[in-house]
Amino acid sequence: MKHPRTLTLLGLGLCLAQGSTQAAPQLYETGPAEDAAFVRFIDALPTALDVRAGKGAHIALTPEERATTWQPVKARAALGATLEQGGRSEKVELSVEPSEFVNVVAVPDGAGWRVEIGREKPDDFSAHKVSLGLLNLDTACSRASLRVAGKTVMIVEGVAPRETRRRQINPVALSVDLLCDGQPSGSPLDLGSLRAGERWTLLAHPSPAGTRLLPILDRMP
Amino acid sequence: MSSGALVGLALLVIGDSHLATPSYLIGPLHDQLTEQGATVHSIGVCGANAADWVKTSPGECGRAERSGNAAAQKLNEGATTTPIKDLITKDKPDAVVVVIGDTIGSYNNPEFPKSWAYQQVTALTKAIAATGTACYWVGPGWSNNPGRFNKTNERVETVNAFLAENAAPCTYIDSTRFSQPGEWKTIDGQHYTGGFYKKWGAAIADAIVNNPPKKAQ
Repeated sequence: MKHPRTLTLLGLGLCLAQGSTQAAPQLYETGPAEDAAFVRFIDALPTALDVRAGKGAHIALTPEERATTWQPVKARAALGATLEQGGRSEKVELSVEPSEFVNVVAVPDGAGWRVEIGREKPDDFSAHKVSLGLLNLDTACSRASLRVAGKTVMIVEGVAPRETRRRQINPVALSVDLLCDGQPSGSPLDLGSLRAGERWTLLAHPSPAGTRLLPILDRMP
Repeated sequence: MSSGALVGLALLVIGDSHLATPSYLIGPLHDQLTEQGATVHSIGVCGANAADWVKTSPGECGRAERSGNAAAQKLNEGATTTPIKDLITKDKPDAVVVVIGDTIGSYNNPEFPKSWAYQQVTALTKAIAATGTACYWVGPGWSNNPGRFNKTNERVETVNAFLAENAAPCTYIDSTRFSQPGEWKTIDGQHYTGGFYKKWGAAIADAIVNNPPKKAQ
């Protein structure tokens, strides 16, 4: 897959050459001065979406390949991209804070589409558990919730528009129901057998039939 | 004393500065694993982060390499990592032993950069897992003083907790279980004096002997 190449990579692992009077390695960095920052693009439309960033970098997202990997970017830098679909384009300008993961998502909007931004600073990294997040990108759904399909077991509750809430769960087979303001919206979503270490983000997005879920499996570069 | 628990097994050991000087861990750990019967190939690149082992990356302060019973060879200039995929393809090890903790500790950063560390660790564990090779991940041991690297024991605990949660499918080896805080002396807050590298190497080898890898098919 091609990725936007103009997003500036974080500079890592710089060495500070310094003499030593002992038989020790010269001083070197033991990590970055601040945490990494990431951005990705997602196509929640029924058709393909073109994403252009910087000097000619381009990627085509499709219903079969809806999301880019997380792209490391320079924190707090001004970033720009253009999303194109159906002869219409939207320019996006944003910056990303250290530790932040930012989703840039094209979502249906009536007969057309619009861009929504979802930000989060997760800290639940685990290779033993599954992280299941709900990102609410439908302003018509003022409180989005996930529950185990057909049961009363809630996974995450009361997620406001443009907010994300996530929870660690065991690696099991799972289907979920989306609730908007306590009412089911759409059919159950079968996530299959979840595997330890996976990080999922379920996008609640607008559609002509109401709020719907789009599952995105996080992929690091 | 050798139990020969690792007879017939090939081990590939990679790591950071602790393996990049012949008198450091690349000496006693390599020796201990060899005495247990393993065929060992060890490579250390000073300053290398975990993800630096996914593709060829420049080392910051030298490299050492040791194969079998030969002495470690030190390279001070032009040091680079070798991609783990290439090493595994060439060596066909039964297990990889990763000794990386201090180069993701971010000891000068008041906050542990968890997102960056997640990216670093998963890049390497996924590259190893993609080959189907078993692995062990050895985390950082205690410091006896923060020293010039500013390695505090509070951060050591944080890094070990993070790695214990994120190093899978590698079997995690928590080095803080091998000594008391400050017990092992260092020359700069991070690199141990010779006798304590010997203790660290023996403790790591014991951990592997007690939970040995299976012979790869």
